[in-house]
Amino acid sequence: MSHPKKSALQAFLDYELSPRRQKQTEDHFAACASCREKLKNAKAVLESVGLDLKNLNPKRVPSPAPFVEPSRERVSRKKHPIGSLIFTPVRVPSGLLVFMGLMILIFAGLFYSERHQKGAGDVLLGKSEKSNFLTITSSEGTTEFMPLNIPWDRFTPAKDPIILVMKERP
Amino acid sequence: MTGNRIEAFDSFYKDLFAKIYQYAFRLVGNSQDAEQLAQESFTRLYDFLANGSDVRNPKLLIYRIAHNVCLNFLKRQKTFDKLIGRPIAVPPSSNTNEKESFQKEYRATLVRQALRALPQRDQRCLLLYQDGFSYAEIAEAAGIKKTSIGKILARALERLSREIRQGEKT
Repeated sequence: MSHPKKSALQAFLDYELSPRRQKQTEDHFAACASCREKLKNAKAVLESVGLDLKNLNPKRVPSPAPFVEPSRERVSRKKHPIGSLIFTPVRVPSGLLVFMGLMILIFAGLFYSERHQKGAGDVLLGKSEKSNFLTITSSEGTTEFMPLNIPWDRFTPAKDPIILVMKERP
Repeated sequence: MTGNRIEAFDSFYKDLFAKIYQYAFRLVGNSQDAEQLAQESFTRLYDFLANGSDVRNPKLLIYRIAHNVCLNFLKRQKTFDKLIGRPIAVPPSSNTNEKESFQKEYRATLVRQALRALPQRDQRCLLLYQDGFSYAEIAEAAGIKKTSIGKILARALERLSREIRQGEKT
């Protein structure tokens, strides 16, 4: 038999090994001096710590006070259908909570990005088939403007960035 | 809960109160708190059973609940714990009995501190082991494989012994 491990040594001391294994381990201790030494040390630790733990016990144990049913109110409340609906705590699985949190984050992100793309006050220069025009996007929608002080066909947004007078494009 | 079940719970409470009180006392080191925590543990078990939960081994469950209740208490009372849990100084006294009692108290505080410093799993296993539970029962109460108990206990005992020795030196 090989040298018993710490766990087997402890189990041997506590008579928790199977009878066959207990006998084998005992035989091994009889033959192996180093294991005998380990067993002696383990026994000493067990005895000293056991005594220390025993000394933690209280000197006097109070007699138990009569047991009062504390949750009677909570239990009886369940008998009322409306009350139970209001007061019974709902146990939500943590996985569902995480999923809901993720969904909220995703929707918030989508909403933000959409708002960001159509941000109020964004001014975009666009081109139509006919000519150039100016689009202003607000939260209410996109409005297209055309210049009044520059001839319609000569207006290029890149060259004429400042338009003083504009009217809504028909 | 029906009348019979309430009676059964009451007798269970009376049978096990002292054990649970002792368990709590070893962790918190204060009789008033230990009594309160033992009561709270039974209250929680009662609530658990009143909600219709099926419990295979209420004896193991009450130990499990008690441990959690004590840990929560210690967490809540961190400042209190620091003050009370610190090893108290042994005042020089001519009275031999008084001196001995202080030394015992000092040692108990040291052991309690070392016990609290262990990982939760080791604390649980060690305390249940000290209460005479078998490896199979400890495994069930702590939610660990039975084959791991020997190893956990051997390590926890060694670590506790080391911590106590270190505490003694300081």
